[in-house]
Amino acid sequence: MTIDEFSRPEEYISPLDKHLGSVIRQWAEEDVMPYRRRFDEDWKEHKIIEPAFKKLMADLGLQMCLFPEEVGGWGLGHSNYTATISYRMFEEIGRADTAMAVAFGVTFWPLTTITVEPHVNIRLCKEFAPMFNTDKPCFSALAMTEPQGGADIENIDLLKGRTIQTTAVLDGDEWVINGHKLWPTNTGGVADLLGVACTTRSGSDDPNDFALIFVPSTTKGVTQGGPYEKAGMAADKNSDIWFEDVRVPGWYRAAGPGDDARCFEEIISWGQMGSSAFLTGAMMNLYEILYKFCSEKTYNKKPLKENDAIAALLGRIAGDLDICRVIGYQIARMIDRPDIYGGRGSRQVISKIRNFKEFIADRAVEDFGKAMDILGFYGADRAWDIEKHWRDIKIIQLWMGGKQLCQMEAARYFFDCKSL
Amino acid sequence: MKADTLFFYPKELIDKETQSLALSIRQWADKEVIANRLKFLENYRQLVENSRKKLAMDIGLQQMIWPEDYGGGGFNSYKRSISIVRVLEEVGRADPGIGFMFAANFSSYAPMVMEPHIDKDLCAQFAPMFCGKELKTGGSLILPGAGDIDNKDETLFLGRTIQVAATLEDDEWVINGKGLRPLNSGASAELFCIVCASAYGGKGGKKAKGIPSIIYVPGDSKGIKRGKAFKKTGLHADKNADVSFNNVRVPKAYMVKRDGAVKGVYLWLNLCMSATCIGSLMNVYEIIKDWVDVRVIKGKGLIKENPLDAAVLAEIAEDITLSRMLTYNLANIMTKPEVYGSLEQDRVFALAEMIGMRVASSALHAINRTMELMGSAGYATEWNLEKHWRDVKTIQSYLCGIGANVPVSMDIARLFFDCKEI
Ligand SMILES: Cc1cc2nc3c(=O)[nH]c(=O)nc-3n(C[C@H](O)[C@H](O)[C@H](O)COP(=O)(O)OP(=O)(O)OC[C@H]3O[C@@H](n4cnc5c(N)ncnc54)[C@H](O)[C@@H]3O)c2cc1C
Repeated sequence: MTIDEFSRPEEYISPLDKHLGSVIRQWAEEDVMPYRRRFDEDWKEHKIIEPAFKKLMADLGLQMCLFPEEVGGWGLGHSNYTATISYRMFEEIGRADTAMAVAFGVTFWPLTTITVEPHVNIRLCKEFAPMFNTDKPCFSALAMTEPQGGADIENIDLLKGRTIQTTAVLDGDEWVINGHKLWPTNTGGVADLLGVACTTRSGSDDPNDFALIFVPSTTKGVTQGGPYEKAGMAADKNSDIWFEDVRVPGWYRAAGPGDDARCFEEIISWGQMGSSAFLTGAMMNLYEILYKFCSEKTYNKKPLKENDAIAALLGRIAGDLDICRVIGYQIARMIDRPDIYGGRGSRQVISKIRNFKEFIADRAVEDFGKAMDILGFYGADRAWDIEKHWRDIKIIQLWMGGKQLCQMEAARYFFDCKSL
Repeated sequence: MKADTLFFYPKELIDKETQSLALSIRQWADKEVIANRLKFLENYRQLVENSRKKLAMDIGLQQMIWPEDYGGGGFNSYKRSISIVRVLEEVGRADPGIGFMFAANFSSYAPMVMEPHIDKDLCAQFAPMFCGKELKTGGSLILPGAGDIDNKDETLFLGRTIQVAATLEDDEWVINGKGLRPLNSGASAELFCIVCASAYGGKGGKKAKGIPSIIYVPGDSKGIKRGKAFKKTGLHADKNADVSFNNVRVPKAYMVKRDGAVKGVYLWLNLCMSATCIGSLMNVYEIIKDWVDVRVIKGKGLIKENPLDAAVLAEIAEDITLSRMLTYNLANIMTKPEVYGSLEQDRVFALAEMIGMRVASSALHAINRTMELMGSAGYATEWNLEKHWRDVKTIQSYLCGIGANVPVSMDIARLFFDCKEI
């Protein structure tokens, strides 16, 4: 049994799946897995982490994959399989290191609003593609969370952007942005391009006042802090960003009044899809490690996997992966085919996808914890690679508004709740 | 209200000496550790080293468990179980890693120091190591764990593999074992307390078959090889490394062959680790209380006033309350062998294992839920929660030893249902 045999709906796998999957797997096995045990100590500098990013993003050219061909990209944004192939890529990277997967995935996150059909904004693509079309890794960040809370900003259905404190005011043909964001992936000096969630009228819950504006990180008035130290996710840097009278052209707004809010809702679906892929990728690696450990180590003179009670735990873990992978690819399919499932930002799709991701995250958190206990004295040992995944994936359960918001979105949709 | 009074524990059973000791530790925790966490954010190990010294030497935890006759603090009795819990709880509140070190130390000395089995020769031999004026790492425990598929003639302790063999030669035990994973402090312990398979006869190097016993081996004995300290999830106060014993010789008297001695180690270990975990939970409560008292969600109300989040908070409070009650209950049972039977018999052993597992898992559950309510702050080092999460998880996996909770479940099933083949 290999990791590739875990179930997924084979009939709608991307035509690029085999090729791209194997390229990234080879990269992960050569450039990440042999070094990942040292990543935690590299959280601030990224000296060991950076060369692997360079190879993946610049040398293999993946940082251009979403951009249309006419601006030098691979044109994946035009495909019917954008999410499905992204899922596979994220899964392969997540198998090696979920923090690298998030840093990579978030680079595309704000870009989905200008590179993926039906939102292709060719003017902005032309503007930003050269940044990414280089031999250096180039990252984006999506700045939503603010000091007073991230969950409320993501609770767009209920609060409709009312709590956003970062303001964007049109002055002539320029946006002037002021505010303070926390935590975006790829900050701490990493990101070259920022997608910033703002309000054009403080306290407004009119969708027309929600703005998603692109800001190159070198723009005057943008300050990124130093990276925060965290329980895990060393390959992802997060920090404060301050915007002080930051000026960008008016056309740097992703889609325009009303459409930005819709794009933002779609972003939630994309984010949950990515999160699910990072998790099933890590779970695939968990399976590989457990297989080895439980075949070689014994309890009561039998390999661990041959003890009925331990086998029950192992069966659950493998079974969870088998189920979660099917669900994860279903999320990708729902994003790829709005014609079948409804709009990516529709209530129906967001609620279901949040719910799917919460389920996968809960299973993953429990399974990694259980696996550490199966390894016992070795469970907390960095050398077995499980504990790092355990530390890394916990935040996947908590980010993007957290577990409770997922629960409320599900209840709201399935039971027509009005006030949650 | 302070966490201490909010979560019940049998106050009436805590003697005056322990009350004052607990107070000193509380003051040490607040002043030396908790107040300095932010300052030492990027150099936590330094903070641990400075503060552990004060706790071990000035407050006296290093010698606490040794008999008074040998220069110790005299807590070497089952009658002091409740006091030991109270002390470790206060240490765990400050830092579960420091708590873990003392918990493991205490458990490693228990077979020779604890009434009614005080081994005078061993105490005379080893007390001076730990009851002097120098800061020590303390005793390291090497417990049975995973077996190796290629090794067919292993000795088991209730299904877990004993990886150390002790053979008697010319009035000395000759000890062999390769690549052993201690519970704690393999890199720097001055003394090893090892669960070994002891057998008479046989030659050094040849694997002995025998009965599970405990042997003490001074850390500077010839033939001990220590690996490099490895990186682990939590418990960074403690430096652990794999250890090998190659024909290490110790005097015959260094073995504790008493029936039940190995179970005794597990008993103390489960009690002491549970106490450390509830200490950790006390601080977790303080952290989440500070958070929910001010954090606003949905643009208006406090998070604690949201029924869903309040239900999560209730789970956290339940986990803390019940874990504390269970741990003190176990300690109380241990103080009364005349009522509940000897400590080293199966009933108390199984109870300790049950409670140890339950408390570690409830503690982790409570911390996981706390992290949910704190969002990214819970995951950031700066908020001090994530360290408790890593430390408690490490304790939980260590208590499992191998195969998750299955070995403990087998011990329990064996006791209550007379299972013969598991
Ligand atoms: C590694 C990492 C990467 C990240 N990447 C990004 C990024 O790329 N971009 C970005 O903008 N942010 C990012 N974040 C931030 C993250 O998404 C937010 O922290 C998260 O959304 C929660 O926000 P908060 O921490 O402010 O908690 P809060 O918003 O204060 O929420 C705290 C808790 O309150 C409860 N709660 C909130 N709302 C409700 C509700 N409606 N009903 C019931 N309970 C509720 C939940 O338990 C929730 O977890 C990242 C964080 C980390 C650690």
